[in-house]
Amino acid sequence: MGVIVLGHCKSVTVPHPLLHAWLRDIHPVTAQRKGYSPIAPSFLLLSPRTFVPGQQLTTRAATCSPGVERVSGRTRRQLRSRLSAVGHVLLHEHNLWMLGVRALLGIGFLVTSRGSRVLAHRGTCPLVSGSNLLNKDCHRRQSSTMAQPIKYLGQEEAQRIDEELFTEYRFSVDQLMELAGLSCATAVAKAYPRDSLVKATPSVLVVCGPGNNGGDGLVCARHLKLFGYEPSIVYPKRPNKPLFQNLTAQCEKMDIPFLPEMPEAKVVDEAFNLVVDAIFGFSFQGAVREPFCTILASLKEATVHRQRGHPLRWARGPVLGRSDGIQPDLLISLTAPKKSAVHFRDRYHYLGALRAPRPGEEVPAQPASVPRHRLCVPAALSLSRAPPPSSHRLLRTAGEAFDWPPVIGLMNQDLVLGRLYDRITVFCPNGSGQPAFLFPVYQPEYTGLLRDDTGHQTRWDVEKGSSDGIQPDLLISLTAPKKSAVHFRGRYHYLGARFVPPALERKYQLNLPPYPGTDCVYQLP
Amino acid sequence: MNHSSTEPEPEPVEPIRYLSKADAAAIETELLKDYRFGQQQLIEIWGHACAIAIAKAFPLSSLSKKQPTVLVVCGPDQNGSVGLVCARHLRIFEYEPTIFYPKRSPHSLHQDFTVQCEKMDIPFLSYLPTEVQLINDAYNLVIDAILGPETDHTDVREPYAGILVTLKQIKIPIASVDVPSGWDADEASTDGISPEVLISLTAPKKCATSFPGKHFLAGRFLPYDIQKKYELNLPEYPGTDCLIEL
Repeated sequence: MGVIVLGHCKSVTVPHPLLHAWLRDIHPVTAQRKGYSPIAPSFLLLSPRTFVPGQQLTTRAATCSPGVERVSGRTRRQLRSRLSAVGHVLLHEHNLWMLGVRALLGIGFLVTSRGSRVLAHRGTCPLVSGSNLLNKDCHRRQSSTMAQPIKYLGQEEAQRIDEELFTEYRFSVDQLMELAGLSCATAVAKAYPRDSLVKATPSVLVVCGPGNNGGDGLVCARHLKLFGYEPSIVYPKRPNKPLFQNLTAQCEKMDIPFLPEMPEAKVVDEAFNLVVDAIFGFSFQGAVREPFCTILASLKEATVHRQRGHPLRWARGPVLGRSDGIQPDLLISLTAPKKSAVHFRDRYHYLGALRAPRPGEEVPAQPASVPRHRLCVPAALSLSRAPPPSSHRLLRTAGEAFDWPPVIGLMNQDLVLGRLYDRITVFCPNGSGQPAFLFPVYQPEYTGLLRDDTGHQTRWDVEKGSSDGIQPDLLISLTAPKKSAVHFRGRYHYLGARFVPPALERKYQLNLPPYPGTDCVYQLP
Repeated sequence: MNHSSTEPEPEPVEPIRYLSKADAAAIETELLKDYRFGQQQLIEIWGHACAIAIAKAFPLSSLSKKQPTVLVVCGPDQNGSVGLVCARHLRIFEYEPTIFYPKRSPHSLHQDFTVQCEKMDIPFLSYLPTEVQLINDAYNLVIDAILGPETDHTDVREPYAGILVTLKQIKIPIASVDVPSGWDADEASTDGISPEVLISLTAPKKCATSFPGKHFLAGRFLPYDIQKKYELNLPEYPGTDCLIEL
C-alpha cells in the first residue's frame, strides 16, 4: 500500500476540489480543453492494488495502464516541478510517486518504509500536500490583494454571489444571516463604542425592513444587546416565514422592545443615540411602499447618525446608506439629475419633467386630498425592469445630451409631491401622449427644489444638485462593497460578513482585504 | 449582562456554574424550543467561537511547523458539526485545517456543513494513520470534536475508540470542543485523552471543574433569561469578543 501513481486520464474518478484547483494551475489549458467539470480532477489515481508497494514504476508503465493516457513530457515536467515544490513527492528518475492524495480519498496512505524515510527527511507529511497548495493559494491571494483594489459589486453580481452561496456552497440563510448580523453589530460597536455615546442610556434604534436585510437587522439587534447596548426595534412588515418569526422570537426573549410604529424624527433624535437602518437590501426593486416611505422621510430629517442605508429607488435620487443596497435598476431624476446620479451605472436613467397637460391630453385622476400643487403629468417614469420601448429616449449616463420635447408648463419652484398619485403615467417623450407604463408608486411627502428652469432640457450638468437621501455615518458592506458605496460620505466604512469561500472570491475577483486576526469586520479606508 | 449598571460598590461575584449533563441538555432544548434558535444557527455560533478560541490559544505566529496545519477530527453528531464549522472558520482565518470525518451525520442539516467545508478547499482524510509520528509531524495541533456531552462515555464505538487511543499517544496539543471526547461530562477522566485546551460551549460542564490546561468559554449568545434561570453567572465578555478565558 502507499504507492500512488498519477496518470492523466479523461475519465473523472475522484472528485476533489483541491486536486482540481491544483491541476487547474498547472495545466489549465488541458483541463479546459478536455472539458472537465469543475470539480473533477484531470488525474486518475490508480489503485495501489495495481502496484506493489515500493515498486518503481517507469512512467511508461504507469501511463500505459488501463485507463491512463499518456502523460505528455511537458505535463510531466510541470507536475514534477510542481510536486517537488510542494515537497512531498518522491521523485525517482522517470517516475512520479505522489503519496497521500489518494489517502484523502479512499485507500489510506500508509507509507512505505522508503517513503517514510524520505518524508522524515523532508519533514513534511503527505497529508500536508493539500495544505501546501492552500498555502500557495493563500500567499497568492494576499499578494494579489495588496496589488489590486477591492472590487465593488453591482446588484446583479451581488445577487449571483448570494445565489451561489446558497445553492452551490450550501450555506443556509440563517447561518449567513447570523454571521452578517454579528459583523454589523461588531462594526457598530467599534465605530460607536458604548462609552462614547452621549445619552443616558446606550439606546439604539434598529429599523428592520421586510426582507433578508431586516433579518440581518434582527440578528444585529440581538448581538448589540449582548454587547451592552439597548436596542429597540421597529419592524412593521414581518414576512410570514419561520426564519423571521424565529429571529423575532429570539429578540423578544432577549427583552428587546419592538416599537409599534416608527417614532417621529424629533423623538428619534431625543431618545436614541444611533439608528441602524436595515430596511432594504440589494435586491430591492420597485417602489418604496408605505410605511417605509414615511420611515425614510423621518430618518432623513433625524440628525442622529445613520447607518447602513442604501440607495433606494427614490424619485428624487438615490438614497445612500446601507451597504448591501446598491444601484437600483432605475433612476428617475425629476427635472434634473442630482449629483448622486453621477454614480448611477444602472440601466435606465430617465429624466422626468413635469409639465402642464397639453390640450386634449388625458390627465390621470388625482386623489381628492391633494395638497396645493400645480403638478400635472409627470413623464417618463417606469420602475419595471423591462427595457422601455425604443420610442423612449433613454439617458444612459450623466452628461449625455438628449432631446426632450419642449415643455409647455413650468412647475413650481416649490414643489410639493405628496401622496398624490397612486399611479404615474408615462408619456412618450415625443409627445404622442400615449401612456406607456402604469404602475403604482407611493411617494412620500417632501419638498423639493427644482434646480433648473424646466423650459427645456437639452443638456444638464450633473454636478448640480445634491443627493438628498439619507446620509449615513457608518456603512457596513456585507460580503463585498457595492458600487453605491463609492459615494459614501460618512466616517466609517466597514466590510463585514467574513465567510466568503476562497473559491468564490477567486471566481468573482473580489480582492477582499485581509481581515485582522479573527475579527469579522474590516475597516475600509 | 449580569451586572447592574448603577451600583457603585462591587457586588460579590458569584462563581461561574458548572453544568451537569442533564442541565446542559435542558438548556439546549430550551434554546431550541422556547427561544426559537435554529440548530444550524447555534452550531454556526459555536463553530465560529471555537475557531476564534483556537486562534487565540494557538496564534498563527506561534505555530512551530512551516504550515499552519490543523487536524480536525469530527464525530457523527452535533459536536462533529461544530468541528466542521470551526474548520471552515479556521480556513478563513488562514489556518490550514484538514478534516477527518469518518462517519457522516445522517441529518441533512449537518450534511450542508460538510459540503461547505469541501467547497472551501478543506481536504477530508479518509484514514487516520495509526502511526502517531506522522500526525505529530504533519500537524501543529489536533482539534477533538468527536463526542459531545450527551454521549455515553462508556459506550464509545468504533472507530472512535481507536481514534481516541491514537489521540492519547500523540504529542502535539489537543484542543477539545465542549467536553474532551471520551470523558464523562460530569466527572474529569483520568485515563482518557488529556487535551491542552478546552473550549466550553455556552457554559462549562462539570468535568471541567479543575481542568489543568487553558479553558475558554465560547459562544456569546445566551439570552439573559436563561442565564438567570440556570444561575450560570457567566463572567463578562470583554468588548465585542465572543469568548473568555476562564
